Amino acid sequence: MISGYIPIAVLILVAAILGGAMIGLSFLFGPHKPTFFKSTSYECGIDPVGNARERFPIKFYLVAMLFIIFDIETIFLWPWAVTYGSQEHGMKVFFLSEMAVFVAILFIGYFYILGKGALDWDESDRAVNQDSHTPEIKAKRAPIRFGNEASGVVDLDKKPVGDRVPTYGASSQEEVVAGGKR
Amino acid sequence: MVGMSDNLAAILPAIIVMVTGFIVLLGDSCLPAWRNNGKAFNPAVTFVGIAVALFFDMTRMGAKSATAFSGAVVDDPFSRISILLLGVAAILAVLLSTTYLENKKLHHGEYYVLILFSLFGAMLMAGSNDLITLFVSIETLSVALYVLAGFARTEERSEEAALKYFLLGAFAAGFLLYGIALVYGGSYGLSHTGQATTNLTEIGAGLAGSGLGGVTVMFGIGLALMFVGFAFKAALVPFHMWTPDVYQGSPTSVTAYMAALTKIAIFTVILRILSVLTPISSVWLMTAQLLAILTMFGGNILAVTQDNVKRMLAYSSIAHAGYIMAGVVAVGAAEGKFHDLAISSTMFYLFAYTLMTIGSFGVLIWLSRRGRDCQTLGDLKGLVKRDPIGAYTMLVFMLSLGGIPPTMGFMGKLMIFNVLLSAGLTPLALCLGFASIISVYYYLRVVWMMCFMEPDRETITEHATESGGTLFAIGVTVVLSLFFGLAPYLAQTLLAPATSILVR
Repeated sequence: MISGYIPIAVLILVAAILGGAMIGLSFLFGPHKPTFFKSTSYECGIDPVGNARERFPIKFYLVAMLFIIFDIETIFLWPWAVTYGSQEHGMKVFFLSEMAVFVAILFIGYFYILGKGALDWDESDRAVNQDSHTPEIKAKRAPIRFGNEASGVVDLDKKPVGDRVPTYGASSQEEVVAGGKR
Repeated sequence: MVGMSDNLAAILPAIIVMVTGFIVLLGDSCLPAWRNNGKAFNPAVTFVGIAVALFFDMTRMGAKSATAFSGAVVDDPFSRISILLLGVAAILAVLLSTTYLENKKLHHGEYYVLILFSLFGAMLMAGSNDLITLFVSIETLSVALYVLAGFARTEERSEEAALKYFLLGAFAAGFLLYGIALVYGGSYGLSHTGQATTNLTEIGAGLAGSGLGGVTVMFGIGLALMFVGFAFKAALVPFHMWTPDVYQGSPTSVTAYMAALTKIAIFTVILRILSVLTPISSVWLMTAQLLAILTMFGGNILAVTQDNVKRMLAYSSIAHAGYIMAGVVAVGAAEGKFHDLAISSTMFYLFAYTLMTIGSFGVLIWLSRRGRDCQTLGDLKGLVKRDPIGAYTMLVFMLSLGGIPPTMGFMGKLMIFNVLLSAGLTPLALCLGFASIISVYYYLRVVWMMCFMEPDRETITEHATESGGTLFAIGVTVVLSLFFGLAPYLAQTLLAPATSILVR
């Protein structure tokens, strides 16, 4: 049984030797004259602008996760729907109840996120985080800010200062808030 | 469909636990009345749900063994007993959690939901008779535990614990799944039907027929990879690296819960799978022995230098996994009535381990009831004067963990020592003895700190708030550890049905 793998092993070996030889030999014997333009990215990318580590509103992640959950539901429904038609009557009832249980469980998840306010885009009416149960913590906590000041959504207690200039690539909210403009 | 109700009856306790999880999830998020009184509602409903599940589990204790869902799930006394142990662990953990979470400001409904979902996964693990069911239930258990480990979201250590547990756990799950795939491929031709299978009963029947001749290279490698996955979950040396960090970083109530729950569930699975592999025991017995010896010595030697009690208990739980693994080896090596004795001894040790681990973490929770986590040895200095309840209960658990009579830990070790000798595994029995001697040092160091050291000035604090649930849970574990330590045969009779694992 093992002997069946020998041709594959030989192929891997030959590929490794060939590939290694081509790159290694040209590295050894080829001329090296790097210039500025040779070192820049060419046709396969642009120079990076600004910092890649930006802050995103947490909503993006929520949307992504919710999307995946309901996406998977659809993917599960698809093969089920395809095989459903070809079943005999007794199996059809069983199939239908199975899918009903599955969808019911997903709906429990849906009501959970609904109850937690994850689909509540307008946060102005729930400025205080739900997690805090005690009134003292609620009082102490600063109102929730999200997004960059310049991205349009604002802290409700704060009057906008000057014109709103769209700012791209701000590395943090503080940077924009502190400087006003970059 | 005919027989659907039989199928559902076979996993009834697990279903009850799952539905309770849904109820708590919806109640806590959608009902304002519930949300405002979450502190009372969530633990109460969780408690009742687990209790009802255990009730149904116990009423079915004498019922006939059966498989359900086309052989994917098995409902036999062995699975019922381990579901009972799992439920007891979860109930104790819920009792320990309430005040602790309140003090740490972590009181959310999701905590109890995750406890219930992980319990659901563990209960399915105990009853799974198919490698695919097994994998899915292990993941159900693990994913809930990853989140629980990071439940103290504002603490860096907790985040670190969750991330480490998740990454390494996902890695181990990969090993397990790859192993299952290879076993599936290697089982071709083993079963009567001549088709590849992941069903344990069919694999067992095939191995019994073919003996060592049926073990192909692929099958062997698959088994090895599967056991890497199991050894990771059970924290056997050399797959234990995650344990101290995760146990130390997680909130203490979560640590207590997961230390007990995962060990019970995974050793149930290991026992069931190894009982399938009994016809080819010469293949794995040596490796299992080596794992047991490494784990006993590794855990104990590493625990000696720890100053953090949670970390020390984490290493000690590794060592205890080694003792349980020694019992598993005895199950594989012993024959006839010693085989049954080995199974009931291992289950007894699992029970003892559950009580003393939850108990000792419970005392740490009891001592943290002022809101400041009690973690280091220094926090325990002079405890016997400051907090006699905490000190004396901790003393019992330390003696029990160290294997000193008249506690359950002593009886458990004695039983495993005994079955190892009767199975002809004298070297392993001696290793168990030597490893326990090492362990006595660091358990008694805790006792020394509590009884003979003067308390540091800053650790002396005023009288603390009440926490009835914690005290009750500690009381139950202390009483049971002492009671079954004095009357071990009562517990063994209780656990005796576990010896009839259906697959064999």
